[in-house]
Amino acid sequence: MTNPGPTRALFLAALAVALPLLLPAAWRSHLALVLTLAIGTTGQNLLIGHAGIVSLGQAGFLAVGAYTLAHLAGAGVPPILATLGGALAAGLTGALLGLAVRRLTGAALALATLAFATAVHRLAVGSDALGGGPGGLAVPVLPSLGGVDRDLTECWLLMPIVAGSVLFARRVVGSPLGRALAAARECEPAARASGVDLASARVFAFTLSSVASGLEGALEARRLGHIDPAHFTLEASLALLVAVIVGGRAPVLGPLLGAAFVVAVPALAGTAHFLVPAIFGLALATSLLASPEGLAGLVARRRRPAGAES
Amino acid sequence: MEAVIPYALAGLEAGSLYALVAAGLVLVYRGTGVFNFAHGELATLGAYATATLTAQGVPLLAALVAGMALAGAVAASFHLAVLDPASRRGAGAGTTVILTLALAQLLHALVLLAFGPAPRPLSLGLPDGALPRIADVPIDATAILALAAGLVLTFGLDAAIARTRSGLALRAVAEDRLAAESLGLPGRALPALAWGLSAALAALAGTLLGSRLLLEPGFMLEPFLKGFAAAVLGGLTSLRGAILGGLALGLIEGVVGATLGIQARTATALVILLGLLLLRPVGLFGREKLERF
Repeated sequence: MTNPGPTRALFLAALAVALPLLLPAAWRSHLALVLTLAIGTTGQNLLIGHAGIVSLGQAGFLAVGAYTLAHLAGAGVPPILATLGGALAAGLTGALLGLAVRRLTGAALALATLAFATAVHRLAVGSDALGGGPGGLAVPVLPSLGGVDRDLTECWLLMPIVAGSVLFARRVVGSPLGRALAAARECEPAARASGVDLASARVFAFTLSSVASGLEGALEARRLGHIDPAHFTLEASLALLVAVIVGGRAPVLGPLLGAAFVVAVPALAGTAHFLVPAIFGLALATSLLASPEGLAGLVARRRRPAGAES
Repeated sequence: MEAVIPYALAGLEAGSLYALVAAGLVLVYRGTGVFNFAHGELATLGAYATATLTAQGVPLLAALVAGMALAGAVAASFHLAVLDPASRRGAGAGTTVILTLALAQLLHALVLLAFGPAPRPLSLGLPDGALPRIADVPIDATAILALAAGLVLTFGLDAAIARTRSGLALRAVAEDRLAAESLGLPGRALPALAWGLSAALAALAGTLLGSRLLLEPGFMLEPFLKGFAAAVLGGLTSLRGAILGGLALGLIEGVVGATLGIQARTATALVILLGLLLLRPVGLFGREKLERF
């Protein structure tokens, strides 16, 4: 798992290209949504899964990414640059917020980030110049290539981005910084005592996760062709939280399974709207209490011989 | 200046409701060290229960007590069944936050399932509009009831915690549960009582708020955030601080709304909350060294 050989990488790539073709056409937009969400979940996984920082502010970064994309695209910036601009703006916001909250812990941090996201939402809805009011903004979508189904091209476009984010996140987790974050999560005094610069490690984790959220927000806005401020409420931050907790900490499988779960639940619930919070709530509680490593942990447990190190 | 007075009075009316929300949050935070992110949903559940009972013809007071009891029972059981075992197994602040969020989701689902998403009115039958006017502002009976209930309940609870044996025991458990339990104090029941009382206060606040707005499944999110802002403003250290924080927040909102406009008014609580958390997490009235109760 840690070092896929060339054959295996090729096989995975072929599978990735074939997967959207094999799916029924109606499922492709769900797959595209899963892939988009997996990007943000990868970032959140660093923050919540590895650094143990519970942030409820991701909806704010999704919004910064989406609105920046819309304004840049409106000013004639090419789509790729505008998308990157969205991610960059979100990262900058995340760095600033991370700097501001770096000394807060636990619940106070969750509260501060919730206040931040609510403020961004207010600004987006309330300011016509920034957010276009409650109606949102229009975003130019990519033209479909040579008559190929647009959901299909979206999936193919998103796959390398997801792969890149996931591989990058795995790098970060294995780096000295990732280990410092994990050490701080397990025992903060011990990490401090061994010389971990906790504040800057946290700011870094915050920045990376907000870049991922901004990228997700920009990509999703571009996919839908429209920004609806209703997408940036507490529910969006909660969905990312559920994806991370349910998916688990594993860098590759965790975000993908978590994102699939978060997309599948509302799709399967249909008109029984109460099922979504019911399942999300139960999933949060049971994953935390019963299987701290999430769905990916369950998969890994089955694959490994009993008693092997994780 | 005179133009500001009606806004300030209206702000104080809203503030009396924030104070009730804040008092419940402080009670749980001081008793168990948990920020309860399900406080708003507990309030929603209690308000819906009260509304349903009054619509069936149950007298208001009985319905209110039943709603408060329901929310209190849910919160106390949540503490006994989920939070207490989790914290005994060493769950950190992050885990408890997520567990209260999980409770919030489940309660939201319950309200959606039992009562549906459509907004509904909740009439308390209070003589709003029949009271004398102050500075040409109609005085709201709901706000007076909220203020009176808030003052009586929080000062009563405050006194009970400061003076009675059970209050002393609760302080001991909050201070050091292990030591308190080895002295034979009930380390599970007392915090559960704090959770129950807190949720009962939430249900009262939810019912009063619901009668001024409309009942909707997510209607407590906004008051919940404002209650949190008020609690942080009050320093999170005392119930009296929470009341002061709520009234102060309402007053500030009113004055900001009068001078800077409605847009600035809606952002006030968030700015105060963020600013205080970043600059002075112990609040305006809080002590530098955080003590429980």
